[in-house]
Amino acid sequence: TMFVNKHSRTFIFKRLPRNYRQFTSSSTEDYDLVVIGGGSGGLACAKAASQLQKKVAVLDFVTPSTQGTTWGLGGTCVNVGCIPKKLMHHASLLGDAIRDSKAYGWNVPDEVQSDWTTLSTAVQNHVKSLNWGHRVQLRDKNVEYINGLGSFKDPHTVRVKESNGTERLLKTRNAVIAVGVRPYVPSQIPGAVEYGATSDDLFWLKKTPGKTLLIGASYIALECGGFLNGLGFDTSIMVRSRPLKQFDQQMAELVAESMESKGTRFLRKCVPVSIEKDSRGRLVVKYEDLTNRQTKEEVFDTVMFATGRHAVTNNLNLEALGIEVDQTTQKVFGGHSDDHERTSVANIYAIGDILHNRPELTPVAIKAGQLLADRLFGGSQVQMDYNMIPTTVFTPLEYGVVGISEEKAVSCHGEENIEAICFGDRILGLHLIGPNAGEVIQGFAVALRCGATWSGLSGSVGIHPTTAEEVVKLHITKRSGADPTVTGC
Amino acid sequence: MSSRYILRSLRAFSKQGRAHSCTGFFHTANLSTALLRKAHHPHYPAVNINYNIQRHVATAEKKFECFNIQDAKDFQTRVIESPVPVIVDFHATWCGPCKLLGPRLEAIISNKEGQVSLAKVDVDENVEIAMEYLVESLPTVIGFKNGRKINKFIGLQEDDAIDSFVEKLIH
Repeated sequence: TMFVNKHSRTFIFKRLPRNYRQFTSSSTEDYDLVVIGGGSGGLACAKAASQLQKKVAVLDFVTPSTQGTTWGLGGTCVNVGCIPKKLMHHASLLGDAIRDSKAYGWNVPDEVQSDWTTLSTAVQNHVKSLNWGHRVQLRDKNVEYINGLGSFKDPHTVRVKESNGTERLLKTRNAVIAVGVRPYVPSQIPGAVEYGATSDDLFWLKKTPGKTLLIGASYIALECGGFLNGLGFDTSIMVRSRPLKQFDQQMAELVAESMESKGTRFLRKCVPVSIEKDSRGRLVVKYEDLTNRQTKEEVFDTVMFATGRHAVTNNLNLEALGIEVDQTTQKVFGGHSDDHERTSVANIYAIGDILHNRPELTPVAIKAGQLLADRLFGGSQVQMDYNMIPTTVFTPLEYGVVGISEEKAVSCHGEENIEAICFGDRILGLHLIGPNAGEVIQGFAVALRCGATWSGLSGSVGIHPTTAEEVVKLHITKRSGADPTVTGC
Repeated sequence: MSSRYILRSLRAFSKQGRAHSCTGFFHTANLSTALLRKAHHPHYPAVNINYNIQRHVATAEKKFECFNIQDAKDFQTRVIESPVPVIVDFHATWCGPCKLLGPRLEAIISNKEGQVSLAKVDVDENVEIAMEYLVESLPTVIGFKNGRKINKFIGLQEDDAIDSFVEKLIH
């Protein structure tokens, strides 16, 4: 063996013939983990792995939206999802509060208007500060950040193409796919891709949205429609069948009704046919009413598609590696070798929205990422528990839910066994519509995870006066047919 | 016009907030500009134009170097290799307190007669520089002398705190 120190290495180099070419290994480095995608799941997983003293790199790249919008590090939640959405939801509720405050003795003008530019600038500045915060965090936790598009060369090599064109090859023991999903715009509708905005664009719109049409019946369409209406914009939501199909239908109808009572117009059982621009730059939408097959036309300033989110995995080179994806959604299949997040390739995992058949929620991605890092490098065996995941639809009147819907409960256990969603004494699901439903349901989600029973719930004393106490005061079953409207205490 | 009057009017002008765009040279007509114009007149006796003339009338113009850093090379040349101490203001477009601190820094540094310069670094444009100097919260202000980091402060500060920070760097 030769001990190579600074001096002997210089000595060796001096001896080499002048035409000897040095091959550097700077293009291939050994990582313990490379994470493709710097969103909620990707960052959580990368940071957790780095805490366990592993060499980690995270790749993040934002392909511009159909309207050219792009953003910084942090993924969907930070840039075009939860964060800007909640801020705008809050902004619209403040409008209601200002109007209500008059009755409570506050001296406010009769008419209050919201200014889109002030709001959107403040929201965007906050988002940018979060982008920065994530950069700082990655540096503090010793995670290498590369702004580039990642793809697989082989199961242990990730190719990164940076924005300046340079390519790097990263050799890694493990990889995590956390690329998330993007809005789907139905390209077969003429004008949809050219003129249709999506949630990718709404929060970064420079000009005011004006009279807006949202196409879709998902929580995204309803949440955005809800706050746009609350901010004073003429808002219409075009729904092909029913709103919030994935949720409990009785609750979904209550949500839609509450939005209609606030002035949001629902175009039910309608589908868009085409979108054109008129001479003044406004959007002319032709749509078909499915009930009578009539084609109608209306002019809007903004048209936003909320018709589903799909995976963009075609540039990851998954097929060549044999990583199985669902044919319809293009999402990655997990669940191999009894590991919820392991793909069909042993050292490659998927977390977050990209993982097939799992809730598309930030806290789910974060927890799954952290638990995965613990299993890979921390000797843990703990799997992610995808049951009893609470969530909230942040429509003006919020809808918080933990557990299953009534439809699911009936289909799983039979109607005769279900009483307002309890199976025997075990609570299978809890649904609440009301102000701050998100805050209320969080505590009950913990209770359900701990196995809360009906007797436990009804035996609990409420806090008065609150909305939450109604949960422990539940005593009218649906089957009884009695009117549940609360009048007195 | 006394020097104190000129300096006071310059400071008042910068407090209007225009200075956060950091032009570096205040385009106000003043005694030195008038002098220069006169000196170039063909009928004026030949005068040796140099900065000493301006120093005699004691304006802050051209004594105060303020610039935006473009890239790492720019930082190396104008901060690390600067003959005078440099105050580096790490800021961002989305940062509210930065917009308040900027004019205060410029006003105070303009008062120091060229003993110190002001470099502005937008952290979104120059992430690597910000990372290298462990910038976390904004605004972060770091004093550099002879290529080395001497002192720093974080967040919006009152004028006297900024002034004593600048003085400590110079001396």
